[in-house]
Formats: sequence, C-alpha cells, structure tokens
Amino acid sequence: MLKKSRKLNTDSLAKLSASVLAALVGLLLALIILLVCDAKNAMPGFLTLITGGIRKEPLKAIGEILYQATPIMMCGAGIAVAFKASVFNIGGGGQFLIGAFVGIYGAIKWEFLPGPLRWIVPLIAAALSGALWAFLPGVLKAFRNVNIIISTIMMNYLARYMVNSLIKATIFFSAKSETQAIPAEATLPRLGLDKLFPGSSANIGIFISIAICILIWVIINKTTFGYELRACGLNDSACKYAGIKEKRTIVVSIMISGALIALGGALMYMAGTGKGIKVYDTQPAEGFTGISISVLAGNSPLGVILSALFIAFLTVGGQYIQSHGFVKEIVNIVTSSVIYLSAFTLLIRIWFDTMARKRQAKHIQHTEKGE
Amino acid sequence: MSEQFAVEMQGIVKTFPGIVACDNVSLEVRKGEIHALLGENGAGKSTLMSILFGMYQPEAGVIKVNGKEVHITGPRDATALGIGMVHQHFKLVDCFSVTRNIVLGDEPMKRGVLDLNTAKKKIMEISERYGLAVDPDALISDITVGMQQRVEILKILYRESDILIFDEPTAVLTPQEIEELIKIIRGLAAEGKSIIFISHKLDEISKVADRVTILRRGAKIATLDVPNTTKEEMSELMVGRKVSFSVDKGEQVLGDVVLDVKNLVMKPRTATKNLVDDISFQVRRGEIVCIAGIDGNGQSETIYGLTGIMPVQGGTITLNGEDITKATVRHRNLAGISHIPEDRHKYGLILDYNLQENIILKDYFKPGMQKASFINFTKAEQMTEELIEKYDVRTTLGPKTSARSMSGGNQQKAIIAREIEQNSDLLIAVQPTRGLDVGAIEFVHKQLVAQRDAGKAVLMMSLELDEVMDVSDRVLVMFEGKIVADVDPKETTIQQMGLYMAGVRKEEQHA
Ligand SMILES: Nc1ncnc2c1ncn2[C@@H]1O[C@H](COP(=O)(O)OP(=O)(O)OP(=O)(O)O)[C@@H](O)[C@H]1O
Ligand SMILES: [Mg+2]
Repeated sequence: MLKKSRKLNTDSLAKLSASVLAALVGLLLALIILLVCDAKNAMPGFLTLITGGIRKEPLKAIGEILYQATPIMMCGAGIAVAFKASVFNIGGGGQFLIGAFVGIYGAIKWEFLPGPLRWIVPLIAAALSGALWAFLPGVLKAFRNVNIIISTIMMNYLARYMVNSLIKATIFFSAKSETQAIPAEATLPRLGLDKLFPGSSANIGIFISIAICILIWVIINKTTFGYELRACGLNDSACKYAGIKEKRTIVVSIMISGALIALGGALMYMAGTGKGIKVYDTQPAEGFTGISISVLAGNSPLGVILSALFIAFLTVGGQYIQSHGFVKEIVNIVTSSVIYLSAFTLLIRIWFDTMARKRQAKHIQHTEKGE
Repeated sequence: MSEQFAVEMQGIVKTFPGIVACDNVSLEVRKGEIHALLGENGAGKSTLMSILFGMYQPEAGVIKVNGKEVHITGPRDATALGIGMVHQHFKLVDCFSVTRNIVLGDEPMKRGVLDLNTAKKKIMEISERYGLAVDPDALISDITVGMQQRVEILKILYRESDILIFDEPTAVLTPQEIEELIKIIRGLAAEGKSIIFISHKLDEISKVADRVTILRRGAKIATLDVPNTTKEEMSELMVGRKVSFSVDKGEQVLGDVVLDVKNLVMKPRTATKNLVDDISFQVRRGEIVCIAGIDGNGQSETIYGLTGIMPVQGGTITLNGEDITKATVRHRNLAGISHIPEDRHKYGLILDYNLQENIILKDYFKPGMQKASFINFTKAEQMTEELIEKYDVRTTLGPKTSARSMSGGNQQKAIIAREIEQNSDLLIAVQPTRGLDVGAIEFVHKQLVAQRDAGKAVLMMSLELDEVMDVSDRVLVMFEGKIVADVDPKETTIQQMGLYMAGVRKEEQHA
C-alpha cells in the first residue's frame, strides 16, 4: 500500500517539477527580453510581472486574474480532452470565435427568455455550436482519415470569415466595427465578485470553468467513456480488438473539445466588459494559448486549472509593466514568450529522464570506486 | 591465472519498485561459446541482458568484458565494447530500407554525404559470409519477421560486435526459420563470437547451446554443461518442480456445432489474390480444433475474419446458429467469442494502462463492472487480484502494475486470464503459448483442455508442431489460403503433417 502511493507521488512530482521548470525558463527569457529593451527598468518591470501587479492594486488584480483565467482555462481543458484521445485540435481559434459569436448573438437577440435563462441558454447554445463546428473535422478524421491538424486549421479560417459576415449581417456596431454591446440582463452574473474585487471584471465564469475542469477530470478518469477515450489515445488497434468504437470516440472527443473552447469564447465576451468581437482577419490567440496551458498542465484537466491561473497571473502582471515605460508590444512579447515556452514542459520531462539515468550511472561508479 | 571470459557479470543486483529483478546474479560466458539463459517468465533474463547492454544500471555488481572491468552507461558504450543485442521486440524503422536500418546511428559518410553504396557492399559481404540472406533495398514493412530478425543480426555484425545477445529470438519465428537461425548462430560461434541465447524452448537449448545458466525469481540457480543434462533436469531447476511435457486429456464428449464457417473468403484491399480462399469448417462443443500450417498461408486472416477485426469478402460465419458475418467485434464478443490475439502488444494490451485496466478491457461496460457509467475500480482490482492468483501472473505492484513493465510471458498470461474468464462458448487462441516458460505452457494447455472438457469449443492456431499434435483433437492444415487437410493428430505422423503443410492434399498422399 505504502509503496503504491509512493510510486504515484514520484510520478506526479516529476510531472509537476517539469511544469514548474518550463515556467521558470519562460520567465528567464522574459527577463532577458526586458534587459535587452531597457536594462535600467528591466528589474522593476520583471518584479511587477511576477508579482502580477498584486503589489499595486491587490484586489483588482486578483479579480482580473480570475476573469482572464476563465476563457483560457476552458480552452486548455478542451485541448486536454482531445489530447487524451491523441487528437491534436488546432481548431481552438475557430471554435472559440464561433462560441463567442453565438453567445453574444443569443444574449442580444433572445429577449423572450425569462430571468437567468437570458445568459444560461446562450452559453449552452455556444457550447453546442462549438461541438457542431468540431464535428466536421472529427468525422473527416474518423471516416476519411483526413489529417486533423490540417482540417482544423482550415476550419479556423472558415470560422473567421463566416463570423465576420454574420456579425455584419446581424449584430454589427459599425462605429467600432465590432459586435454590439450585450444588454445588462444577459451578461454573466457577478455573484458579488465585483464587490469583493472592486474594479475587476470577475464573474461567475471562473466558477463555471473550474467546475467543468473537475467534471472533465471525473469523466476521463472514472467513467466508461473516459476509459474508452484514453484507450483510443493509447492504442487504437487494441480498441478495435476490444470492440470499442474508436471512430465514434474520436468524433465525440473532438466535439467535447470544441464545446469547451466555444464555451470559453462565450464566457469571455458575455462578461459585460463592453468588449466585442472585432471584425478583423486574425485568429483569436486563446486557441493557441489553450495548447500551451494543456501541455504545461501535462494534459491533466485539474492541472489546467492551475496553469490557466498562472498564465492569467502573468498576463495581468504584464499589463502593469507598461507603467515602467515598456511599450505594449514588448509586454505582449514577454507574456507570450512565457506562454509558449511553457509548451517546453514535454522536452524538459524527457531531459529529466535522461539526467536521472546518467546520475544513477555516475553514482554507481562512485560508490564502487569508493569501496 | 584463471580463465579469461568474454563476459563476466558478478553479483549483479537490480531492483524495480516492488521487486528484485536480479538478486546477486553472476554469469560467465566463455569465448566462442553459445551460452543459454533459461528461466521462468519474469525471472529477470531480459533485465540482466539489458544491464549488459547498458539500458539499465545495476545497483551493485561488477561487469567484466574480456577480463577488464567496465562501466556500461548506455547502448553506445556496449557497442564500443563489441556487445550487440537482438531485442525481444525488434527496433527497426518500418519505412526505411534494410540498408538504412542497418547503418542507422553509424552512417558511413563520404565528403559529408551519406554513402550508402559502400555500406551496401559491406552488408552484402557480411550477409554472404554468415548466410544471412536479405534484400538490402527492401523496406522493412515489406519483409517477413524472419528477415527482419536477420536485419537485426546484420545490424550488430555490421558494428563488428563479437559478443552477441539474442533475447528470445525464436519466439516469433516459424520452425523453418528457427532451423536457419540455429545454423547461423552455430556459424557465428565457430567464428569465435560469444553468444548469449535466451529461450524457453528446451529442445532448442539442447540442440544449440554449450552451457546453460538457469535463473529463478531473480536469482541464479545453476550453470550446467548442456551435453550432460536433460530437458527434465533443466525444467525442474527452472520452475522448482517436475513439469509434465505431455498433455492429459479426458474422453472427448462432442456436442453441438458452435462455429460454422462456410465458403469464407478474405481478400484485403492491398492483396492481389484471396488470402483465404473459400474455406469451410465447423468447431463443436468439446473439441479443440487447430489451424496449422506454415506462417503466411491465410491462418492469421482467417482469425481476423472470424473475430471481426477485418471485414470478410465472402461466405458466412455462424455462431451458435446466429449469422455473425457482418456483426461488430463487440457483438461477437458478447455473443460468445473470446480471442487470445497473435500480437499481444498491438491488439492484446494497452501497454500504458495498468494491469487491472487491461483485465477489464472486455468487461468495463458490463453491468456490475459499471454503474451509471461509473467504472467500479474496486471491483476491477478485486477481480485482477483473483486472476493474478489463479493464473500465477507475476507482477511487481499487483493490479496497479503498468502492463509495459511486465515481462513478456506475464503479459501473455494476463491476456490468457482475461480471455478464458470471459467464459465464452468459443475460445479462439492464437499462438497462446508464445513466449511462455515450460511451466506456464503446461498450465495454459491444461486450461485449454479444461475449456474443452467443460463443453466449450476451442479454435487454436499455432505454428508449433508439437503443440498442434499434443493439444488438439482435430487439425486443419492451411496452404495458400485453402484447407488441404482435416486430420486426427493421433492418426497422423509428423512427416505427413510436413507434407500437408507443403501443400500436398490429403487425397493425393493416400493415392
Ligand atoms: N522497466 C521496468 N519497471 C518495473 N519493473 C520491471 C521493468 N522491467 C522489468 N520489470 C520486472 O522485472 C521482472 C523481470 O523481468 P524480465 O523482463 O527481466 O523477465 P524475463 O526473465 O525476461 O521474462 P520473460 O521470459 O517473460 O520475458 C519482472 O517481474 C518485471 O515485471
Ligand atoms: Mg524477457
């Protein structure tokens, strides 16, 4: 019994320390960038980055972190689910946009809905639309063996241009070239978080996201569907042999992935911050940030909660370093370098393994020579 | 001065969480000898050889190569010391040619460019010298397992190794290929190379080895001179009890037809002709029917068709009166088919799942193992513990042992346990004893016979002629996709079987 738990612990410990190290490497790169740009202000700026601005406006900063963590947490969870089935969903950007549009559209147009359904139904609709959007690449992969990376990237472009024209046709606010504002009754409830963390946009979304991450963890690890999902990710021939419908499992896994990411999009834009979807031709970054978050979390839905909070923490900290005279672009470079270097977690884990083996070999030589 | 050995391992200790895989093991291999390593499944043979090849580091012990103490920290060190290993599971790149695979990691360069022609010349030289026929330009994915193994051997000869480790080289080969391999190994030894040879087949050891070292549960039991020992002595030392080599079967009570195959045709899209060509046969309750033949004559495809892993192109399959020709795999399993697959790593196990997750592979969705879609892992653990006990599966961490870390033979035992416990009307067992030690083989044969005596139908496929003759009640010999003989093994000689397998029809023999 004792042995079992110890083995488990060393496993998750190794995972955790690889994640932490990856984050540290990212931070180091951030520091170097700051030093190169403006050596004098680099240290104070870096301190602000890693204290998340909490020193300056603690309550507001915490609230902002919770708000910022919400959509990327959903994206991370979505990517993690697909990863477990060995499906590499690069379509996060498109699914995010679709969900955001459907959420905003429902919040503005579905005035007939009573009470809390004003925001609940658009959220559900957003999740469903994301699932539907991911259905196509899933089916193409399962039944026609179309490379899912390519098909999801194509779906990203399709989503971008489709959403642009849908916005223009329905809920366009031409003065700002973005979607119209959402009526107050349809924005996400604040649950008193606005009183607790004044000045921030924190709302119910963070609770929804955390609850969903926990739910996903339970599904993956405790249910028959989760068993099938992981089995397909690990060995599809054995699935065939055991009579597991591996095609259906692949399709369902990417649909869940799409639903979660789309829900993330809706949660972000329905917060009532006045932010709308711009009619641009770029992809939203959240889809890719989700990949980093998932990798940083070792694809564990529970880990995703932590890594999303961490990335949000840095993003918020990054906003404050502008006060040290760094331009906004530098701030973006710094935070994205941390985010993308987090994806090095895997490399670091492999490196850990080889190091351990080498150390063991040295150790033996040592003890033997000592004798 | 004491004798100088090619390899000397002294007091080797290696532990994994929960087990001492090598417990103070010593091994001495003389120059130019063929030294067999024998031991039960999980005795630590592969681990000991992995240590010699630098893949694991021992916690204690000394290794000497040609009399000099060495520290082998990785396969590169081992190669530099002239040690080469042919692994239990090959390590070849499927989409590379034979030549590319052989030079991989040691590519010959000429002015900074890969120089495959020189390499090819050298490979052909070695290949002729030792009788290792290969096609240097063929892709690995297109050649037989036997030829893949020759590529692995060429790989180590190309690096001029003179200590060669073979980890269960014959487990995947056909009897014909085994003959060839033995000849090759003898030739290598005659050239002065030292050879370590792991095998569970005592006949092979008697035939090829000079000395044998026997391991049991991580400890060395004895090193014997092969000419002065017997199969019985070796197996008794190995498992610690007497092993019976003959199969005891009770009177046969034939029952209803369970499996009825009519005009089965299998022709996968990539094949140019029918791999299974219009065959018909039945299997009844209370009989063990064996499909025999030289590998590649349609036996595997027949099994894939019956179990639903591949679609069939013609004919019907009936199970207990129900037409299952087009049924899903899940449906067939529930309707009464258990399947011990040929390739345990590809089909039989999810290596990164632990043992209990593998044991419930065909039960996880059944009521009792699952409630409202939540898997009852406590029950899975209990069930796994029972099977570990009943089938003597050696694990390090009980039901939570990762399948990947289990020894090859114990992985096989886990699959056998899972499939027999399905208690299906039809048990399809493909090469069920591949890689098992003699004690385990005896046990599995007993289990197959017990299924038959309990009124189940057993369809076995085996390349092992002894097994075919001993265990089955009826033998179907396949040749080029057709059944050329349907015989009672008790009334058939090994010589006759050989003729059938070469494609001589039964009627022609009698004429
Ligand atoms: N990487 C590993 N991690 C944990 N345990 C391991 C590992 N490799 C081997 N073991 C354990 O060490 C023991 C010895 O295994 P090994 O593979 O050496 O057996 P073997 O003698 O080669 O058996 P077989 O004849 O079945 O191949 C087994 O109990 C196995 O479960
Ligand atoms: Mg082994």
